[in-house]
Amino acid sequence: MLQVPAIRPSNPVLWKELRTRIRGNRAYWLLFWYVMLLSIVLFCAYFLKQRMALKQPIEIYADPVGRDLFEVLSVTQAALLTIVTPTLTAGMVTIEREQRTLDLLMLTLLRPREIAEGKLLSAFGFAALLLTASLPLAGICFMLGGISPGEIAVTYLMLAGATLFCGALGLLVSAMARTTVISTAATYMAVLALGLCMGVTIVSSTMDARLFAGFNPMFAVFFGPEQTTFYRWHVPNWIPSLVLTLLAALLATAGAAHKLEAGVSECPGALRWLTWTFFTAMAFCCIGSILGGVPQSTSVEELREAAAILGGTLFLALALLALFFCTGDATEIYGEVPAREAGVSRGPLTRFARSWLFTGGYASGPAYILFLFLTGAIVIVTGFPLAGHTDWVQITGIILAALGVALSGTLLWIAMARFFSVVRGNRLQAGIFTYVTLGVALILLPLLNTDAWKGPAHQPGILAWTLYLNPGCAFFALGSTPEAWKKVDLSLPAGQNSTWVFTFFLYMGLAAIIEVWGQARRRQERARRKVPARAE
Amino acid sequence: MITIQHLRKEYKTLVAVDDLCLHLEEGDIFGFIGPNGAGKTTTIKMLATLLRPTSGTATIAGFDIVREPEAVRAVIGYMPDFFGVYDDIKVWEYLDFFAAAYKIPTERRHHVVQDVLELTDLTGKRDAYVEELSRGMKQRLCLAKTLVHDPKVLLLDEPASGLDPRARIEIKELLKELKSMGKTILISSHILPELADFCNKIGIIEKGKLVISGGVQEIMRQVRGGRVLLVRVLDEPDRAIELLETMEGILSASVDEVHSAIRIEFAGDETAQHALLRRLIENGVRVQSFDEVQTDLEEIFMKVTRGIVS
Repeated sequence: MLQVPAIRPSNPVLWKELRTRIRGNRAYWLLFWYVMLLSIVLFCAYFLKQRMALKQPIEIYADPVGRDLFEVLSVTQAALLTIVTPTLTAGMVTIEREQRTLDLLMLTLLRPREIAEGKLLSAFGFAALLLTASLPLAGICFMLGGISPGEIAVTYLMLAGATLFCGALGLLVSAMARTTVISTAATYMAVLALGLCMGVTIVSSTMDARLFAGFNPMFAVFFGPEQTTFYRWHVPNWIPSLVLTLLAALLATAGAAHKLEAGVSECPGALRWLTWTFFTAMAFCCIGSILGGVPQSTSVEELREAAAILGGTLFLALALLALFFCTGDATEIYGEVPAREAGVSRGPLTRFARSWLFTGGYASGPAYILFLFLTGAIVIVTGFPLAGHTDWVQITGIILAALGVALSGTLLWIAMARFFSVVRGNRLQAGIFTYVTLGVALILLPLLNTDAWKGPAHQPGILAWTLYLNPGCAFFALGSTPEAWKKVDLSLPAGQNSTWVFTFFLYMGLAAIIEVWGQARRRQERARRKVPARAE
Repeated sequence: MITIQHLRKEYKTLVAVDDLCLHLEEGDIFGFIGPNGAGKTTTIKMLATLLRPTSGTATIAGFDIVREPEAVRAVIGYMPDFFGVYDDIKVWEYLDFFAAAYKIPTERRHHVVQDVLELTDLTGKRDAYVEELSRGMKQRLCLAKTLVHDPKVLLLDEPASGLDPRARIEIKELLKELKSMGKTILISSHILPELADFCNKIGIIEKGKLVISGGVQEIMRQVRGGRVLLVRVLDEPDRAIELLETMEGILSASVDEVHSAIRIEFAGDETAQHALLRRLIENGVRVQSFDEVQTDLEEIFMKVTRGIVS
């Protein structure tokens, strides 16, 4: 008899999870119903198609039905995977927590990274089994004609990528949540919210948001095979999309591992490297897409608008990231998650990176965010010539001004995140407070000021000065032409051209004040709690 | 082997462990005693690198628990007070999984699993599903899991809690076996007799503070200030008590109704004890038996924590 050698993955978690998942009836029935449902849907679709086609003239009847059927199959599959994947991973850590097995697992010599990887890959392995099981159905569609093997391959690739990402998202939520119920609900919410965001962005945005299609199985199926403009090139959408999806999945897995590690030994290096990689890829793709969307024959005014949008997007991304990387001090003071000292390293550059950017130390958060800013700025500045816009030299001033406002705004929100983390002593609360101030500044201030900025005889009222707290105004002033500015009649006291200067110095000043205040509070708090100074 | 210095753990509103100092040599069996909520589990979790101390340091086998958690994890075996097992997994797979997780090479893993199964007397259950085991067997399985990487130090948090007497005895036998293997063991319990026979050191923790710690005999002397003798006489106990009260080194002498004997608290060593017996006999007291009472830990515990425990 032929002996099949047992293949055993070297990751023990993967081995165990794969072995136990397939045991019992559950896996069998899930697989059975998955294929069964797909078959039923496909059969109904075929039947309907045929009924409709019989009433049509003969040439339409002769149309290959394979393409339509494959679309039905893919959409159904995407819907099923959206439902199934979160249940595969959302409980992976929380169940261990509830069963009280997590401590035992964490105490082994497995690195948290290996645990997270093993868990994700085992879930993905099962999802891949479901996908593979549907291949014969795809084969039927292929035989009916109208769809190429390439399209089938791209659809499956995108589906697999989206499934991996959804699984990684579930794992991340699972590592953070307390119970499986919360974790599962939160994962579905996250998948749904991401889908909605993508839908809105695709409909309304200046950029081609189909780039993010890989983050959701439904979108992945729809937009995978399409073409997109990327800087000055036309590329199949699935290439950048899949790269972003895989990086995001990797980042989510690293986040889960980081979360597993928290409380004992925190070594944020890997997470920060991955965040940087993802951030750079995101910046590259978004900027490429935004600039690619601006026609080559465009006027300088439109480039000016693009520059302001880029600056604003960079600011928004960094302000949100600051919450994750600059609120760590809260937990350090309260003794929950202290950072690990930087390891010994060789070159001066590595030493700099290790001790300033990639540890969880107090100064490394802002340094890291500034590092991201620098990366983003470089990608933006190089983006214009890369997209073939030669006129960009004329708006260098605008680009630099937009970057300046982005920098000052980022610094202000970093200071705020640090301040709240010291005052509240709790990372979550610090995050919420900082988010709320950002929300208030972006949404509420202009609303409150509606009357103030359209005061009598278009004279800006005294309250109009508070408008400068909204970073959006500065970017708007930078991006719009004098005519457009007049039309909107946003009567800022300082006028259009000096808005950015005023905003820049206002933010820098506020950042300095809040930082100094926060530092004083931090010293007080540390002295009160007798926290020993860390060797830095 | 284990050195703890000024260990402190604060939660938001409560100090769980306060200024704990302790030193254990290799081969020591340390009984960590205290009522529920005294800080035993917190201390053990800190030693197991699962919790970070607020301040203070501790080293296990020379490795700092905060700075070198990976190295510490390699030398300790930790058994928590409450633990679960995975579903749909067989006993041997469970142990094999942990052996792999402790990076034991594939070719040695089979033997290791066999060895710990034998040690914990679970060989017969090798192919049973883990969730089908009885509570006592699960406890033994967890101990087996704790032993797969042959740790030098064992941190056992209430290893026999919630077991029936028979299972408890089995665990006890197993611990004695481990003791003979030369492992350093820190074992916690709120039930004292459980620890009495095999600990050479004990520590009593109360509201986060280590009230007393040291060798069992030493603590008994400290707490007692002497030893207790039970003397059973054939007749005239009152005359014997009168006689005893004239003697040196007698702290008190009274009739113990429970044992129907005379209970003597005596400050003196073995020679003085012998002299005491001789004088009783020389004076015509008809001594039937003469015993030194083995103080059990329970009594020490009650004595030490008296007034602190509400």
